[in-house]
Amino acid sequence: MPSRILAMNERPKLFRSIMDLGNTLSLAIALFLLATVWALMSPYFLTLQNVMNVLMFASILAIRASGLTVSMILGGMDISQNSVGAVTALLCILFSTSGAPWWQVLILVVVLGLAMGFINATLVSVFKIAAIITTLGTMQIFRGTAWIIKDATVMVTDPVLLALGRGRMFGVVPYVTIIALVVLVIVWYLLNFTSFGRKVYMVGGNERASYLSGINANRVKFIAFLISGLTAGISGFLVACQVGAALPQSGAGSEMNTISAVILGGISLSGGKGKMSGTILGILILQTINNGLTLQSVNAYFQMVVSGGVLLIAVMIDVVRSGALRKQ
Amino acid sequence: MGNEYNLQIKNVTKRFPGVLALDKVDLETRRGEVLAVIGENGAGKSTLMKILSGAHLMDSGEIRLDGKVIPPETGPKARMDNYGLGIIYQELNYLNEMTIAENLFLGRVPLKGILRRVDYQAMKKASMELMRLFDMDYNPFTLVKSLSVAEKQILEILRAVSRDVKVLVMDEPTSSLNEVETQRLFGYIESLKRRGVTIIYISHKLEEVFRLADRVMVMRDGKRVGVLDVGETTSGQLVEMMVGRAITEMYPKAELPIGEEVLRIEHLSCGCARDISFSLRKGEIFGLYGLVGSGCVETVEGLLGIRAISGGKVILDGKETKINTPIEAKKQGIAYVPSDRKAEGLVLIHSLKDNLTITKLDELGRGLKINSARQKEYSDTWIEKMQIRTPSRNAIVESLSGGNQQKVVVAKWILTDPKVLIMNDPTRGVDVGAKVEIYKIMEDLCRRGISIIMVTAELLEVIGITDRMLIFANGKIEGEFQRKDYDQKAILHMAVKGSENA
Ligand SMILES: Nc1ncnc2c1ncn2[C@@H]1O[C@H](COP(=O)(O)OP(=O)(O)OP(=O)(O)O)[C@@H](O)[C@H]1O
Ligand SMILES: [Mg+2]
Repeated sequence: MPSRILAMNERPKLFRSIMDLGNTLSLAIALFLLATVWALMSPYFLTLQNVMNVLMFASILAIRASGLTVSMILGGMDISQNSVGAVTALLCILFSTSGAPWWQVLILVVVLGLAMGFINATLVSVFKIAAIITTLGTMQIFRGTAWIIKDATVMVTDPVLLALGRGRMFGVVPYVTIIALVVLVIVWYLLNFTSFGRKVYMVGGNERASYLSGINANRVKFIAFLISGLTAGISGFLVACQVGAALPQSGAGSEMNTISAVILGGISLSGGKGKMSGTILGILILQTINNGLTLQSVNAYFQMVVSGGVLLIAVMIDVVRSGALRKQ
Repeated sequence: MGNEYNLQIKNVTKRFPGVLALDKVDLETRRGEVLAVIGENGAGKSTLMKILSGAHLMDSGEIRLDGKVIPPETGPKARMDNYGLGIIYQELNYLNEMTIAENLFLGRVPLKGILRRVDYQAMKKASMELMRLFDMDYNPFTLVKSLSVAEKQILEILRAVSRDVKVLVMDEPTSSLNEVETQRLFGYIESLKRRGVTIIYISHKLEEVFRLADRVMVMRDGKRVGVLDVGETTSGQLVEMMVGRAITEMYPKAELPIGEEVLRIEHLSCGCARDISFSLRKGEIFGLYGLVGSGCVETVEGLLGIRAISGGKVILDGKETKINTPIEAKKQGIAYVPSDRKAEGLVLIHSLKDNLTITKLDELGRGLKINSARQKEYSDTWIEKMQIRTPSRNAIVESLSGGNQQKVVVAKWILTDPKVLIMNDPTRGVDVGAKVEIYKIMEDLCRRGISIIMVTAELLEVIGITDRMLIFANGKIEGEFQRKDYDQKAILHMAVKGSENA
């Protein structure tokens, strides 16, 4: 018996890694095909300028989505992220315009993101309110708070902050992309190589069994919502730096964009499954579609229709492939 | 009893990634007979039955019922409705948040009137009648989540027998039932037989095979190794056919010295268990035995902090301790193997490796990076020790056979090296050979000074493996037995009488 186990342990390794790649691979292929089509349709698409543009927008979304990925693997959705971002941006830019140096502003970004994450985390893990309900509530509370803080646009004046949002390293790679890379790598590392990450997957897969195995499921959830809040704060702030202004309505109505991207990336709504690579590809695909459509001068409303359609088609392919439709 | 076969399964083959689960298997049954199907964990029994019931699609082969071929794509519902093929699956399939009645009538709720309203009255009446078969007197609108595993298993049985079936498959229906409930089931099976129903009965308990079956089919490594008339075989022969070797000693019990007290419970009350006191000594295996609702499970769940206790003290190593959650219990060195592996024991969608090492995450994750080499090492060691049959350590636990899943649950706790190990039905669905392995491991733990509390529905098991046991009935301790005084009849009598005196 042991010899058989070992033999089989080794054999399907390559096969397994290809299977593991399955979803990631098909997303990557989809992205590649998409880019090819756009490149053929518009000579401008593959220019460095345009690619960096796509990356710039994708980066900010990706930061937010990385935190969302963690909470969604746990089976809880955080829909308050955009509101958290708006509050963070407003307060931080106000702080900046009141004369605070840029580094103090950055500290405040972290503090505010964590603070609002803390509120969500407490409601979810201490008071045991379902994540989607908690964040539905806080989404509105934070949005309202943003309007109460300032019902007007606040311009960003600090050149350092403006450079952070718009500037490019060596004139090529946007700084926000570098920040995004750092954040993504950290979250990816957390999920894949730490015991916290394993716990996220286990609790997401079966909370009760994990709890009975001695995992502090509440603490895992708590930390996850802190991360989700922090990434929301950072991305909201970077949006302001990029646009050059903080607005109370920033991100209102586009809450579902990140969620779509994460789902497109293959996360399971019932929890326990999902990967950072999927999330990143999901974001890149949605951004590329929008960018290409913009280059073809397709209007924004139509872009919404396409984005929604792509999401549904992708999920449909998944359902068909998994064979769930076979027998009823 | 006619001699011609009513059900004929021919040449069925089924392959899963990395495993050939069934290799040209045949099976045939007659009207009104009980055919037992036995075999080691992972032999392919459940897979064959799932193919019969339409839950899995076979790669090749043919199934005929009363001479007619059943088209392979026919789904489970159509097989039930049009062919009278019923099945009780090995894994419990219940909806926790729904009532007993709703679970019993899942998918065929009685309707009335032109508006086709749900006929709750009819549902209630029918449910109560069904439950009476097993002497369950719950309100049919009780939520299923408040029931014990054994009661959920009874629901599963009732759901299947309430249909008009020609062939009924029972995949380990008694794995968490005790003597009394098993007797009731057997009585019911007899009456089904008389009505001409064919029963295919899967079990790891050979006594049941001899008590119940007319013929027995043995499977091994996805193949049928033989079909025998029960009257013409012995359990020794069956074991050898299943395992490929003889098992001389089912309960390897050594005389070990028993040390000082490790754990003491004083006047613990929890759920239906009231005023429970006992003490556990170093290196002993201590059994708690009782029928459903006797309070054994409540007692250990209270002790572990899984359920709130309404009074009492827990004294560990001479010091009073408060254990409010299983996390604290684990920190104190108390491990718990729960009985419902699907809901409480495993994260089914994740790998064997992840599930085995879930109890070790804190230790493995010290520092910046999880120690994946150790994780693999643990997995491989325990896969071998427990003889877990799997294509690899990365296999998703859901794809393992029931008994192999159970071994994972047991192993993940043993490897934490606890001071006190509490096991609730630890060998549920585990095959004969692997059971002996688990008992040996338990002996070994005792030798190293670990104390074990064992809660089990299987009387032979408590008698075979424990040093001492308490009999529970109606939430109270009915009596205590020392190993030298074990007497199957007296123990059962005490457990049953106590619950009738209520
Ligand atoms: N859904 C699945 N995906 C992959 N492999 C599977 C799946 N279901 C079963 N198997 C494999 O098929 C083999 C037979 O499993 P099966 O469940 O039929 O065993 P069994 O005889 O019922 O065992 P047990 O006594 O433990 O219940 C096992 O090796 C198992 O790992
Ligand atoms: Mg089985």
